Amino acid sequence: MKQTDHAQLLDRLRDLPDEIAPGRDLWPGIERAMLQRPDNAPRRARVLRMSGTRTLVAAATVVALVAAVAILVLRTRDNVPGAPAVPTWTVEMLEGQAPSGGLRTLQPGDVLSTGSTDRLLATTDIGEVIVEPSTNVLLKHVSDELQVLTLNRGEIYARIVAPPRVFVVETPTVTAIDLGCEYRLSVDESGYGRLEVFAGWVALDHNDREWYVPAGAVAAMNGQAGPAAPYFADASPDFKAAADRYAASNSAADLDVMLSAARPFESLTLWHIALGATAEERGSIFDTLSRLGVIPDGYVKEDFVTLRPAAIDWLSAHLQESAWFRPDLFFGSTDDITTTKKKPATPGRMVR
Amino acid sequence: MPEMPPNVRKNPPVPPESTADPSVNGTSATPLRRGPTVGAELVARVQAGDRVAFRRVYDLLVGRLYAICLRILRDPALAEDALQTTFVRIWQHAPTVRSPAAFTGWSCRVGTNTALQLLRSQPDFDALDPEGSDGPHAASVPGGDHLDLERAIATLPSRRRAVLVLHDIEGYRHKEIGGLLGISEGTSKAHLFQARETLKKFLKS
Repeated sequence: MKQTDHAQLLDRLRDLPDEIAPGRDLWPGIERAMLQRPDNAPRRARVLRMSGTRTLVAAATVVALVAAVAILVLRTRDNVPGAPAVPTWTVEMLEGQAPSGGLRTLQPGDVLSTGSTDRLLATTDIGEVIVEPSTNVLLKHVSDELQVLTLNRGEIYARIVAPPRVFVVETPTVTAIDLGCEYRLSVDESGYGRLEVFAGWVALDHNDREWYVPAGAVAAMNGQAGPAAPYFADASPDFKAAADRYAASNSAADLDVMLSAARPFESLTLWHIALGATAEERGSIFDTLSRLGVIPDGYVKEDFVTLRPAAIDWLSAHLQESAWFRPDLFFGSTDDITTTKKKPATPGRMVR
Repeated sequence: MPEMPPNVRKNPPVPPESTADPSVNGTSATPLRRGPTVGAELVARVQAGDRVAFRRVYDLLVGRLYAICLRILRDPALAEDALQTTFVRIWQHAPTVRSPAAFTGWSCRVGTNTALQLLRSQPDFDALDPEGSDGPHAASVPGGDHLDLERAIATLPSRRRAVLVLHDIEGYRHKEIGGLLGISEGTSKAHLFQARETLKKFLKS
């Protein structure tokens, strides 16, 4: 009888309607909100986000800034007369010896090099980038389809609202490809550094491979060795320590620690490690992923162990939208980038 | 002009050939529900910034997403707030969805999380709210055979209600629910047991 009640309840819950109509049409309010935050609008239609006061101050001081700004702007390439209009990059001083509120326009080929106490805000139609102290970054390319910065050393904080793969940051060894996101990227001249993602996704490209780093995750960049497997910042200390050690050692003991300390979210790390592991290790990783419930029913273990390309890509896409997608972290903050992200959420870590 | 960075893939992954389609029974957020789905062409148009296409997406998903928000939040006004935030988030982040086939499930997950965020922000979320009080949600759902069950769900305390809706109606697993609500897997199971027991008593009475 008790079991019957239980089964009846579950049947009735499953039979509840899939849809319930709201009592009124909510579209007008949604449309208004979309117009206020038209982040999905075509890029050229977007307006630089700058307050009226800040614009006035910037305009009034632009000439003074050009003369006094403490940053070094090196023109390495002349503009081509008659070239078609391209998205504009402007830069203003946030902190440093130059007057604040200044504004100037950057051209492809310009280099921003900040001193030890300078902070800059670079703004374009697809987002904002804070250039932190002791940083050297080149505006390499700007077009409707692609905008490329080269981060030679130092640290940037980027908040980009654009279709995936429009905004790209090259570092000495790794290319960070924006997939619609907000992140902090630090690197030294040898390519050692760290990526921390606060919203959306970043792909790290290195030697024919992509590493996917979602909101809430960090990835070390280890020079010519490329990125380490990313992990979520809220993973257990044991897991993170083992992952850091594994990046340098590929030790089976460290992998065992990771397998036993993993949550479903840690499938992010394990999937990336699997691509460079032995077939035997991949078998163990697959078993752990199955135990964690992130492998879809019907997915064949052998496809994973043998790295069958279509199956691996399929699983990656599936995990990106299930276990690796954390809505509580994905959407980030809407606060002013210059006030909320003044200091790193965690100290920039150079991994050697 | 610089070339595209090397090895940038623009094509979405293709499904594996020899495995079953996991989208129907895997870890997707909505395995128990069968509402309308958004087609690949419509997804592509939304990702390109087409507002007319997004209005069509709204028409397709509004009932599905409102059902999720209302069952979690109980209060129609809160559910409407959550629904508006959900659609704005879907609009803003649609370009990040790589697989069009996952768009509908992803949208439901956004709606679920938005409703849970709002639920957690309510002053009484951490309180053990008394059972048996009729929630405002009960009067707002369509009548018929389901009304008594909807009313019973609405009387559950917040956490139990959320766990029951996520597990028994939306098809989430306890591990996922634990992550979404900030509770352990065991606590999620306990809430589900208690919620089911309450519903059984309610439906018998």
